Amino acid sequence: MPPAPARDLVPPPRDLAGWPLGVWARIVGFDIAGAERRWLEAIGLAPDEDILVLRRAPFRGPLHLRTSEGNELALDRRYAVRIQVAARGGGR
Amino acid sequence: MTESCHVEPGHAGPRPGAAGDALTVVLVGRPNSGKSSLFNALTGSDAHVGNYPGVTVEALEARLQLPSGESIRVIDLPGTYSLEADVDPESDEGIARAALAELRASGAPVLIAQVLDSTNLAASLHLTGELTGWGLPLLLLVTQRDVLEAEGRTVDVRALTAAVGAPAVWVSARSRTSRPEVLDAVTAQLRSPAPPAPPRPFNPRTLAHAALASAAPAEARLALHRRTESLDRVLMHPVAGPVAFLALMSVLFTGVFLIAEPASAAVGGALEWVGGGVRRVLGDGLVASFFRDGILRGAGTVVQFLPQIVLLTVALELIEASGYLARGAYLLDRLLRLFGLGGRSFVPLLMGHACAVPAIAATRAIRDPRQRLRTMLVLPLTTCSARIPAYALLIATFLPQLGALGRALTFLALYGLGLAGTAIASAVIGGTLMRQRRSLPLVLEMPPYRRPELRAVLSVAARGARRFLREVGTVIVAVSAVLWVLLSVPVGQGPPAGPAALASTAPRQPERTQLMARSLAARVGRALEPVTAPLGFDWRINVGLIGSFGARELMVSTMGIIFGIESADDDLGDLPQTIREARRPDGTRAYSPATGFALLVFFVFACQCMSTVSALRQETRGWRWPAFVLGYTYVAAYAAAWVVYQGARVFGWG
Repeated sequence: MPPAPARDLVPPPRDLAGWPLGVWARIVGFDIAGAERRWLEAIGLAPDEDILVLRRAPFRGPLHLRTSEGNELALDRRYAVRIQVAARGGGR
Repeated sequence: MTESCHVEPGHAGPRPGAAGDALTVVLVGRPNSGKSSLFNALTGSDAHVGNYPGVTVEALEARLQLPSGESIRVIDLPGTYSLEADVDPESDEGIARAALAELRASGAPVLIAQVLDSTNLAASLHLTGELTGWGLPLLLLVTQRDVLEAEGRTVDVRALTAAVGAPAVWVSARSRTSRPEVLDAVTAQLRSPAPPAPPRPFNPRTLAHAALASAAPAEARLALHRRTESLDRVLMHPVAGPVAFLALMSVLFTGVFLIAEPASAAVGGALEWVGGGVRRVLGDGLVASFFRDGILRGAGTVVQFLPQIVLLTVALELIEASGYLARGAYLLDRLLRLFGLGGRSFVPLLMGHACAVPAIAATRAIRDPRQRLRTMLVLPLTTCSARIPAYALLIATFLPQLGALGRALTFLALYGLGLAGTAIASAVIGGTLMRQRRSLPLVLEMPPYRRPELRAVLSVAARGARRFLREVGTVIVAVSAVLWVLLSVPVGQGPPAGPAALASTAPRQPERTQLMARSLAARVGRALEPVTAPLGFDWRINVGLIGSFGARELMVSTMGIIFGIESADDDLGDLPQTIREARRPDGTRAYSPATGFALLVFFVFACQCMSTVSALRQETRGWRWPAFVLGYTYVAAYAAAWVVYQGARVFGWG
């Protein structure tokens, strides 16, 4: 069983837009209304989904994400600020 | 595991509805799931866009014959991520949902064939869960078999069927065996139709892991994306990305025109030959002239554009099938948002550089209705390929001193002006008409890079060509015929100095030109002179504009008729010089470079295309927006031409 990361190296929960690149996160909350949220879930961003931020476009452009299923998405920053994520716990 | 594995889930039951109707198989699936590839594999290039009873939306459809002899209809619905999430009914997903609902309501035998990407199974199973609630027979077509097998993984089709309650087949759209495998599965459904699968709750992610034999270790999953990752490191880099994008677009457009040019010239030559033959057979009378100069010339213009249209369609399809299109949308999203558009507008805007007509239909992929409308309204300003001959003529006429590089740079400047116009128009329309609310945030799937399938690309190209001929070609021929009447039928006396003013260097049919000077079009052209004089235009240019009002493709041939030059289609020949040396009744030169610049700019903005107007009417279901587009583009064209003409005169080009 892989050792748990040291506490001070694990980023605290925050919105997806501010999450560091290359660190896996888990979606813990949505601040987005019903219809749009259902659409986001359909395209692959669901609660408890694991997300990796690959890159961010300059000038507050979209984020390039990868899910644990291997899907990759471009996500507008205006959505990313309304999705809460926390560090993915344990090994997976 | 056998080659094609499908398991019937239970007892058969009669399907309610009109028993004599042919079965309609509806292909449903996420975008990028390989649905179009599979549809192409099943139907070849026979598919056409159909409007059929019971469904009011357009969808690609084709008829097939099963190996057992029955005839079925296959419909390819637009890709959709969900049938439950709230979507705008005019968007691709709204259309898919509406079509499915109507088919269900019609009572005719329907089979939903969902295409699932086996390299992305969990996501597709989300849609499967929704489909099981529709009360229609379901068949699961799991694709990308070749990709998965190359990694040593398999799909447990039985597990899928057991969990979902619908038969499943695992195929590879690229393989020749996919067609018989799928058709066998459909035949089996036809023979003993399964009852509509009752909705069984299942977790898409858990089921996907169960079905994918053994959950692949993390390294294997990463291997799937290694090529994509290394390419993206360059192509999506904040600096290298845009540079690569611009380079790709430049290569694309340059390449297309370099290839299309000789092709068009060859077609032009062939048409000349045909025209000569017609003259030999029918002589030189009025009827022969109508057929040759009205119909044949119009048809010839259409055919000459075909190489360009087909090549650009192929290029676009290659970009989309390879997966790069999504990267382009990602790179451009921020910039496009500055003008109230967004990443998804990238595809229609790019298509508009070939032809605005299919681009207008392509706006259905834009989820935000306001953004979709705005994109449609500014598409006529993108530099479509029909503007190029007009630009070429004007540049050759008024900037003859330019070498090849100078001409290329001028073209580039005109393209840039078109883009600038598009951006400004979008910003203005948003700020005024729509009381700007920012468009829906971008959410776009980024598929892994794939090698495009040649067969599918050629299929799309063939469809694009057919569509162009049908929707644009017919309009051009009709306009050409009407134009012939307006230009050839004399109305009253011409102006006293008419013939003398036309200093043709090689008048082959001066009588024709004299006739034209007395035609209805000429009269209208003269009547418009006070209006266009501030732009440096005279009645002859006005007639050219009247001619290109319906289709700007006809500008060059119309100018040829006005100035008495035959065969001005492919090789401009004497036309530029003739126009340049044309004189007014008092003997002075009729046109200065300022006029040329003004005319160029006029062409950049004016919507001179009845096909575009028609497409807008169809997509917006009304005449309000097409009328608005005609209005604002002509106002912009007039204003810009005025500014350029007066400005050029100030600088001494007048």
